[in-house]
Amino acid sequence: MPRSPLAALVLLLLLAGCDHYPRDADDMTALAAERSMQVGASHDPPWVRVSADGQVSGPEAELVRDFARAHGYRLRWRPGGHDALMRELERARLHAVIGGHDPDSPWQPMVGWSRPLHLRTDDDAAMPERRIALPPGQSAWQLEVDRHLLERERQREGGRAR
Amino acid sequence: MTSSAPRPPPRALPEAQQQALRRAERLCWWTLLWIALASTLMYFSMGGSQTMKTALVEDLLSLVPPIAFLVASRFRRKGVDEEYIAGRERAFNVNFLISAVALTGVGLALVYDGLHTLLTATRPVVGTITVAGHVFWQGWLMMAALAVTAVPPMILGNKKLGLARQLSLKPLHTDADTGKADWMTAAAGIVGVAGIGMGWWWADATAALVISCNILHDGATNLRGAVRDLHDARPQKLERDEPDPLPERLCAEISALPWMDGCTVRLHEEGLHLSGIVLLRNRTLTAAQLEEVRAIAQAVDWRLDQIDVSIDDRAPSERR
Repeated sequence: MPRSPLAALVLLLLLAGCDHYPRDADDMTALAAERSMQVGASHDPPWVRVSADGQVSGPEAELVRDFARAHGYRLRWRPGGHDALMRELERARLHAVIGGHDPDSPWQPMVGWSRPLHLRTDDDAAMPERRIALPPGQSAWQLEVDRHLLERERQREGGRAR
Repeated sequence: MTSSAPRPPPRALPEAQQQALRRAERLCWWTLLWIALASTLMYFSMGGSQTMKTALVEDLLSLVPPIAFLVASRFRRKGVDEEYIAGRERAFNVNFLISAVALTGVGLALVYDGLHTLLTATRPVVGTITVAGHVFWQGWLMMAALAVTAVPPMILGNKKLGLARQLSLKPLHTDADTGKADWMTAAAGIVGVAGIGMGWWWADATAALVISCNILHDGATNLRGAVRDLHDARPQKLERDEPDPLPERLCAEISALPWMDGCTVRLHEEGLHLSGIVLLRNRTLTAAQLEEVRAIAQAVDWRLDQIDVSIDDRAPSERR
C-alpha cells in the first residue's frame, strides 16, 4: 500500500502551489469583505465595555476596529451574553467574540483562538494573556487575524525601540 | 496433586525460529519506544483536528499488541510446572485475542469519532503557529507530524510480518496489522488536514471513516481467528484464509507406513505449535509402532509438538 502516502505527497505539493490555501469552511473572509464583519462583544471591563445603548469600547474593541479598518471591512458589533455569542461563533455566524473568555471555559476546545493580544490597560499595568475567539474551521480568516496581530506587535516593538 | 501428570516440556524451537522470536521481541520494544515518541509529538502538534485526536487514541490502543506480545513470550518461557500442568504454550493464543480486541477497538474509535464529527457538523479547529517571525497555518505542522509518524510503523510492521510468517505466529501478524492501521490513519490524517485547508470541514472525518472500515475488517478477521484458535478449531494458515496444510501432510506421511490401516488427525494450534491426536484404524498398536508414528510427527515439521496416538475404535459410519 505505498500508493496512499505517495498520493498524499502529490496532493501536498499541489496545495503548496495554491494561492488561496488554506481556505475557510464557511467563507468567513469573503463574507467580511462583501457584507460586514460581525463581532460579538461581552461586557468585560476594563478590556471590553458595552454601554447600555450597545456602544462597544475598550482596548480590545479598539484592536478589532483597527483590524477592520486595515482590511476595509464594515464592522458590526453584536453585544450580548457570552454563552449565546459563543454558540453563534461555533456555528460560524460571527467573525469573532471578545470579552468574557475564561481559560477554563468549556468553549476552549470548540472554537479557534487568536494569538495573544499583548494589550495593557495602561503602560505600567500587567499584561494578562488575552485572546480573541474565532470561528472554528476558518483557516484563511484565522491566518488573516493572526498576521495582523503579529504585524501590530512588530510595529509597537519598533515604536518602543525608537 | 500427585495424580496429575504434567505434560512433557514443549519442543524446543529450531535455532532460526528462536532467533526470529528474539528479533520479534526486540521489534516490540522498538515499537513501544516509537509509539511513546509519536504520541508525544502528536500531542504537541495537535490542533482540534478529529483525525489527530483519533490518531492519539489509536496510538495508545496500539501499545496493547506489543505489550501483550512481550508479556506472553515471557510467560511462555516459564513452561510446564505444578500449576500449569499442560504448559504455557497458549500464552500466544491469549495474546492473539487481546491484540485482536485492541485492533478492533482502534477501528471502533475511528468510526465513533468520524461519525460524531460528521453528524454534529463540528468544524475542526486548526490554528496558526509563528515560526521565525512569520505566521503559518498550523495544518502544515500537523501534516508534517503525521507524515513523520507514518514511516516507522510501516517499517516495523513490514519486519513483523516477515517474522510472523517465519514463526507462523498470529499475534505478531495482528501486531503488524495494528502497525498498518497506524500508518494508514496517519496517511488519512494528512489527506484530512489538507482537506480542511480546502475549506472542507468534513474531509478529515470522512478520510478517517474510510480508513476505519479497513481497520475494522482487519480487527474482525483477527477476532474471528482468535476465537477459532481458543476453541481448538481446525488450524488455519497465518493469513487466515485457508486451512493449514500441515495436518494433511502429517496424515499422508503416517499413512505411508507399511503396517498402517488408515489414519485421521485432530490437531489444534497452541501458540507457536500444533498439537493434537493421531487416530489409527489398526486394531492393535505396539509400543514400537507408537514410537514410529511419533518419530514421523517430530520429523515432519518443527511446529508439531505434542502428538498423542490412539486407536480409532469408532464404527466406520461415525467417522467423518
